[in-house]
Amino acid sequence: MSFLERIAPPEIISTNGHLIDSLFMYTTVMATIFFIFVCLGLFGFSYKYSAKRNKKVDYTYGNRKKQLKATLLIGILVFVVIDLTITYRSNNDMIAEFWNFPKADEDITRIEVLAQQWMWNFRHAGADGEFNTADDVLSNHDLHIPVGKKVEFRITSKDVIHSLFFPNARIKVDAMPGRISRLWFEPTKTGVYDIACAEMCGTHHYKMQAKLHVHSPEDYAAWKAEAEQLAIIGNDTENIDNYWGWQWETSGKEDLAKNSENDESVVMKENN
Amino acid sequence: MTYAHGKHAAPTTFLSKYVFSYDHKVIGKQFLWYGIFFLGIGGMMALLIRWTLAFPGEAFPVLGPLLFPYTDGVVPPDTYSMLFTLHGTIMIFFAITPILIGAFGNYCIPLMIGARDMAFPLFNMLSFHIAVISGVLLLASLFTPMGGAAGGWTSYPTLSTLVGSPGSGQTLWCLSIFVLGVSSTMGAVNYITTVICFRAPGMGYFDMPLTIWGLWLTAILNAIFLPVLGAGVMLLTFDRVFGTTFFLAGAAATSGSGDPILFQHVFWIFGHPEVYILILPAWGMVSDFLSFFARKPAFGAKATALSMTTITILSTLVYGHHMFTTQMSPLLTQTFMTLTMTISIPSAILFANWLGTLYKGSIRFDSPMLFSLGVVFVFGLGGLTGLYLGTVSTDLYLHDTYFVVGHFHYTMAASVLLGGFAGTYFWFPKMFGRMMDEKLAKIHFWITMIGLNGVFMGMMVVGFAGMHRRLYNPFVYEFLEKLIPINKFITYSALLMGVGQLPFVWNFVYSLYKGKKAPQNPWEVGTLEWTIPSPPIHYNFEEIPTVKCGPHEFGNPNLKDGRDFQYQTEELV
Amino acid sequence: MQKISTQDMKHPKEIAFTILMVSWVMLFASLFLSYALLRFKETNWPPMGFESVSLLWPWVSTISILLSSYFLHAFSKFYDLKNIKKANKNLVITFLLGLVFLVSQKMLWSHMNEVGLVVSSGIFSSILHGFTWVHAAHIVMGLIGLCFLRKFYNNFGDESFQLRIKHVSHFWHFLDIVWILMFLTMFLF
Repeated sequence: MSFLERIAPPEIISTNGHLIDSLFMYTTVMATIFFIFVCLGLFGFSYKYSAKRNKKVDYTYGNRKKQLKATLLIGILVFVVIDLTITYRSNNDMIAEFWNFPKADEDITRIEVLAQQWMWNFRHAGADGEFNTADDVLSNHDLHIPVGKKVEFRITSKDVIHSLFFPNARIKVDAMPGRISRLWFEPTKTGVYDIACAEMCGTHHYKMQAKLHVHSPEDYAAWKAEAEQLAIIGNDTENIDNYWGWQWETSGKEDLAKNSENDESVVMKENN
Repeated sequence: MTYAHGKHAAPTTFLSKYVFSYDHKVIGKQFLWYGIFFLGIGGMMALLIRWTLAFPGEAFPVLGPLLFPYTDGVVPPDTYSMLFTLHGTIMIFFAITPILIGAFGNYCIPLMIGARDMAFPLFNMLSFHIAVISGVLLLASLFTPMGGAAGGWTSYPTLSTLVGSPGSGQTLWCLSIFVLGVSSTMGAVNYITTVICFRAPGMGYFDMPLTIWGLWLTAILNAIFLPVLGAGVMLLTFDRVFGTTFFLAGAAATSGSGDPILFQHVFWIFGHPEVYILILPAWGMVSDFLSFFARKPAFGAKATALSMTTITILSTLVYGHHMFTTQMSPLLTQTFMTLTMTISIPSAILFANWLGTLYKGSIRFDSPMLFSLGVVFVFGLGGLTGLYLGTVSTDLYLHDTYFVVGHFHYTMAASVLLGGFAGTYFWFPKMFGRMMDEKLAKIHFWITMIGLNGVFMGMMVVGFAGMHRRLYNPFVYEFLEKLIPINKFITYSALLMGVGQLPFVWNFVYSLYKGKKAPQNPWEVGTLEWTIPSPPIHYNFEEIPTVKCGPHEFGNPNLKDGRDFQYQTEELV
Repeated sequence: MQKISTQDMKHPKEIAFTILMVSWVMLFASLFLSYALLRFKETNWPPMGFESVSLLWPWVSTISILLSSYFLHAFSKFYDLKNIKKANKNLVITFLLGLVFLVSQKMLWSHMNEVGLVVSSGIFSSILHGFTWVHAAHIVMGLIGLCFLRKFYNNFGDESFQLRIKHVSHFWHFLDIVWILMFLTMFLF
């Protein structure tokens, strides 16, 4: 394995992951250019104006008009060429892609995620399309999604703060107790990939991994049919641990709070 | 610049001279020893962490079996969490803060502004004693039944509440930080007052050396923002000890609807200024040293001071970029991103001024200068890599990866460490009246420089490859397995850097007793501390000096007597 | 410490006290910020079906600390007039009112415990208990500060004692204001 292959980030499997990589590369190029200037000054002046070569110094405080202008110009140049550009690009990317969550009526895969020490729980709505019913497909450690279709995650945590990280999609979001956070991407490639917890969550934080299985639509349909069947047969209605889900519509934290007061769902249920 | 202490007799007994001393010079040295002690502990912890990352499951050589007898010398996972938690805490609060702010602040402020002592010597002594109590509390937490704090130095709830970390280790951690906050606030009150009231007659704010500017701004940030951290850890202590639910939410909080994110807000309102609290003294020193050793007035000294002030103010407005992944509202996120980016204007001006100082100078490469140039280099890298993390979309990927670790080590560890070494080499003659060995200092510089760039550059590389932080064994993830060789390289670099500190320790201890006697002004610099003997007499200045020119008067063509600098007490020729 | 030039400048102790006050303001500001964030997160306040607490003891606290501020102010006025007797009376009343404040806080805590708002019963009682503790701890510091003023009759016209009176009373008035803010935001509304 060559060095460059070794340090390459994981393969991109989402429609918008390349935006992050390309912004990363732009920033790298600009930062390198400026850093080269700094190094030229640092090493060049150190060489040229060392005490051995240069005895007579230029007695200046650097407060002549010309010098002040030059300094200010450098500051503004950096700001415009690097900062404003990447802020602008990043902002566009966020608004057009990462914050542009699928609409309620779009045909997407919806998944609820519950993080706990040290495990990822995933919940598919099952045949009736409603969450938190007896036919929900529950899985932990393994997440199955179809390729070529947007997936939206609603994420919360049972105990401490975790962070759902898809290295191959270049995105992550924190899973916070008492809040529901959201994340979406659209997989473009089938295969098995890693899901990580990126936020320190205790001693076995490093073991808190899951696998992302991206299936072709046919495989996914087959998997889902089987899983739904198994869920209906195997779902123990007495097992309260199976009812950690919530209504998909309750997305914001206010709704979650209301929810917990009215029909004692999320928070209360987990207590029992 | 209206007040001065009178002359007072030096204490005679051992206790009043070395333990309960009011003398700022002694307190500065106390802080120096305290900081170096913790720097050693924190450094050893870093090596244990690095060893675990490069050789997971292998026994740490030599020391391992002694420290972890139950696992045959392998660092166990829970201990690993404690190690990186305490490594961070110790390095930030117990090594850098005491050395850069406690030691240099106490030692240099009165000497460089022409005062006989700090404004409130008693307060100053108490500040050190409280810091000692805080250090004892922290070390004591290691010996509690369930071990020390293990929630990361950021101690995010709910991991840091009883939900995630039972036992008294984390509680002691909170208390220790609170007590240290009290100590630092007392120090800060002292520094600010001293600079305002005790400058020598004739010394305006812009006649102060930039070191003092850095220390002064640091003290201001400390006084304003440490109470915020104090409030945060106090509420966390309440949660842990009295059962309040400020930071508890979700299923684990049986009775609460508090908010764990609240702690993150409070923590980073303090935490981001803290970054600048650590780096500002180093910036100040570097700005001075570049001018001192380039034998040329500091380029745009006023602009440098004002840039540092601007950064101080901006640093209070940008803390949200630590919390992008908590999904704040888009408006807040955009605001924090834009504000973060504006910091690069004053930073770029700082760099322009530093390079402007070197331009057409006559540079002497003594050890303080080498370390200062090193700071410019590593801070350039550290500052530029900050761009990726202030940008929301790249932060989505890089947040909580080793890229972040590499970035903040470049800014907070590498720059500050090199700045601290520069200061140590520079003021050692004044502190102890003896010179340190130049040759060993240069060896120390080059090994440290190679080592730390290997470590932190390596961290950024593995971070870009997706390796996230605080993993006991990252290689349980398939996509990280290929990074084992690079992690080994980082660990070897860290070992090299560790070994590179041996010449420094030897040099320091040897020079303390056997070093060449230092002349009054070995570096030929004109600031006030060099107008008095090395080491200074008990009350520093026989007569309070009158300042007649700036601190960076070098290479004035009107100077006739063979000198290329003039003292601040002399009329500008 | 001596003055070495005629330039008019605030005494170092005044500057130091100002900085300390900034620190304290930041401490309480962080608490109020936390309170605001926690409160606006909830749709109903008090949350989780709790009743607001009875205002009896908070009113007693408010009146006692307001009066104590008034008497402390009177004390420093009579100190300036060198009226030992009246100054002494005002200082003692201030101190006693401070004690009344502490007692009323203690009664408030007992009352809350009686009605089921114990410390660990959720965010509402956490805030009421936690923040009043912090404030009461500072009142204790203020009372200790007041003790340092008791020898005022030996120190008429002494600059550093005048500063001491000024700083203790500023600190006391500051705690007064903080309590009023807490009373308004946490108990009344």
